[in-house]
Amino acid sequence: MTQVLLFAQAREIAGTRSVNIDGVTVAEVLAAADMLFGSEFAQLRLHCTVMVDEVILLGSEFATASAGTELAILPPVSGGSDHARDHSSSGMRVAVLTVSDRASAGEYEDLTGPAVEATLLSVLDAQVVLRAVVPDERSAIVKILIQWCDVDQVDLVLTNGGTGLAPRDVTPEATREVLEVEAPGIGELMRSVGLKHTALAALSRQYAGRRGKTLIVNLPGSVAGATESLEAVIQILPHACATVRS
Amino acid sequence: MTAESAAKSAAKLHPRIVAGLSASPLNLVDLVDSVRRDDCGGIVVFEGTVRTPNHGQQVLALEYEAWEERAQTQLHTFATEVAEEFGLGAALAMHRVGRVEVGDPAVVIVAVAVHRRAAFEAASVLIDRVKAEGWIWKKELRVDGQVWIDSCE
Repeated sequence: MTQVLLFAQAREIAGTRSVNIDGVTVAEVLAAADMLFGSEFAQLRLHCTVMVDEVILLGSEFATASAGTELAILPPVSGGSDHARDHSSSGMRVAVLTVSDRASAGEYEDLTGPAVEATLLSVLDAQVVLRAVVPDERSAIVKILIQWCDVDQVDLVLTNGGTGLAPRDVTPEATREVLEVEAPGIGELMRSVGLKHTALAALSRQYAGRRGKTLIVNLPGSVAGATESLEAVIQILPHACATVRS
Repeated sequence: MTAESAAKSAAKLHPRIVAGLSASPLNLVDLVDSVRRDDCGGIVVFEGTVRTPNHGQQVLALEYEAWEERAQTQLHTFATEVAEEFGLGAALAMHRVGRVEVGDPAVVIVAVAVHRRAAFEAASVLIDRVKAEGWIWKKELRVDGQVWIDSCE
């Protein structure tokens, strides 16, 4: 359930400041709001900024972004700047992809994705603007990586899962398929830190590199493995992303 | 001396920040007194008032609406960042919500600095940020009806 907040003209047309709407993605919640409040609202809504839990989203992100707990529909302010375009100047825009057959099938809850987010946000000035869970299928991973890099143009994609040696582990291969430039040092650094905890780190096959203006970094699937690997490289990510964007 | 080099050469001041929304009239004298300090010799005050006519239409008053919790935080953030950037001794950003009559202040910005140039520049930057980025909307109340204003002015 998402609490939708309405302001100014949007509030007047809707006749309420706040309404609860069920929906998985931002696009679903907005479509439901349009149905509920009618065509005048839907027309105005096209010119509004949409903010989900503190993060301003681009229109291209509505279909994939989670609706969150609080979604604000913000008409243009009288001072007249385009918030959706301005926001790229503050913090890194990050997308988190969990690759897991079982989490994707709903057999268990994705714990690693949220743990990666928490680790990231505790250290860096970043916003997680997109998140998704996909099965261990190369085509599904490739498709969403291309979407996030080419269309949404996030600064950083952090994948977790599918980096081991099991037959279904294909995240590194899917990542290499979309990378334009590889950055092997990032994987080496993560493994070298991991080896201090366990020799099994030698079996992880994370890749990293650049596609367009986006840095993609693979993390392992376990909560401990993913957060330790991220911590190993987190201090170099802002510089890496700035270089990729330049 | 540029404002930037003035900021660098001045001893580091700990800026006083006053920011927020107000449902009652803004008292300019009280607001300026709240940020006045002996070690600063330049105070620039900007007052944004309700104007009539606007685009040829007679305006009776403006009605301001804010995303209150966010706008409060934003105003404080803008004032803090501008104070930091220009090495101010104090920065104030207060905005009205609710009905504001013609001629009355809708927004007051005060920049307090050791020297005047930093104060002038900081006040200008701060009001621009408040207007462009603050989650605050205004509705024009006119003889012929009411209209939300969403264009840059």
